[in-house]
Amino acid sequence: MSASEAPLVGHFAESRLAGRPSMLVSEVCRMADRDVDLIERIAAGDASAYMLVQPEVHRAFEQVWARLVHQFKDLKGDRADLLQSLEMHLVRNEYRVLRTFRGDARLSTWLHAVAMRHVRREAIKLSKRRQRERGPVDTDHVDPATDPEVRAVRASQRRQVQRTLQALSEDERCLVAMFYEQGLDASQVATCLGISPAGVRMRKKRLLARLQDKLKGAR
Amino acid sequence: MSLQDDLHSHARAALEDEAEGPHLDDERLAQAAEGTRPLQRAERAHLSRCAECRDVLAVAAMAAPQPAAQVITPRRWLRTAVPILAAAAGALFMVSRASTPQPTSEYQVRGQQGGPAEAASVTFLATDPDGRRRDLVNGATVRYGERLGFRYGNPNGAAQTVTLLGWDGQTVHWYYPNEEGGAAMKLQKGPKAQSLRLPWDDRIGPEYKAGHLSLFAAFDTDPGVLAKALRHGDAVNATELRLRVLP
Repeated sequence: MSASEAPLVGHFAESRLAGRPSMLVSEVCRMADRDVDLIERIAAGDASAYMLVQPEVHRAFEQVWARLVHQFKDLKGDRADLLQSLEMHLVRNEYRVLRTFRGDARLSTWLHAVAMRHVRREAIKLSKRRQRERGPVDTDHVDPATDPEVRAVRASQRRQVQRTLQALSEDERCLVAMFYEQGLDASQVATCLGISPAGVRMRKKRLLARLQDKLKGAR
Repeated sequence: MSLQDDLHSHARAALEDEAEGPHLDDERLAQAAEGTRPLQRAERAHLSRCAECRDVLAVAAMAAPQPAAQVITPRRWLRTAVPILAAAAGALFMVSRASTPQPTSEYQVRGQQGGPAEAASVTFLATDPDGRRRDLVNGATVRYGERLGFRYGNPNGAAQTVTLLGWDGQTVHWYYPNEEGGAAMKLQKGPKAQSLRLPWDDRIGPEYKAGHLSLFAAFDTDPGVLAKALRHGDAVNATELRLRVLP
């Protein structure tokens, strides 16, 4: 780097942000202040810096909780414990987890990902413990339909859908999962896969037509 | 019950967690959710078997700001017209190239105002994975894994802003600004602004279509207007550097 380049590149050159996709200098400064510098301050032992991250952690937890509470219905009373567990996970061992942030993504997005992974694992552990304490549950009786014939039809449909989905290719399973398991929309799926929303909608349409044919054949 | 209802009801149970090996990195999933680096084949294969990573990706996708860049699918008549126009433009380019001296060592885009000595200029660079840097000239080749960089000169303050975009015939690649809706990059001026490197490079990756890539530099131009003109195939008030992208 020549001396004439120094004024603009300056302190970013050695930053962990070096090499990121291009962005406005103002955005760079904001991001460096907001994200990487914040984490560096926390890693350096500045406890007050964590207080700036904490609201973001709580927002991430709320999003995660809203999604998980439907999957783990028996954990409604454990919200506070799970939030505390997430905070402990982030701050213990001198912020070991927070220090792994590299600045490749936005801090808020990364915190959502970290929060989901941790809280989900804790929720599964808690749920299994509850099940052990409660004893085995007959899943057939969870179905609100009381008519045994309706229950049998539903179970049969479920098995057919399962068989059909398990026969799909990895990319097709991925697409089905993003749309129907996770509830993402076409633009979100397109962003993750790096293709256009129109391309995603086209793939989905073709996939549904194939699934429809397969299920008709099976029934 | 429709097929879509069936899928909503049974997808989670049907896509049981069967993943083996390590999970995907949280920051990598956050990157994919933000659209800065889409998922690769091996990562999609893991996702198709791993409910945990799917849950992580989904919550990150909900939290990530959606990129504004769009991919425009050309209409049928345009698909027919584009090769013809491209051939005509190519012929015109070859004629003009034969009658104009070409730069030898580096390609510089000069602003509209002032003579060459005082005009604002942009130089395009490529840095390979080993850190070797080279100036790009018309017709140069760049490969996946290399980084595009930019340097400008504006000693007399001939220009206030610069917009730098890439166009591969399908997608607008945003460099400065880095996303649609952003403002053009403000330029410094004065003796220090002889050759200033812009801070962020852009990595050439799978989001770039292999083949032709044109880099456009425009001074004092609205980025949105330039992008719109590129997408519509209109004439642009910008200077172009043509490259070839190899995977």
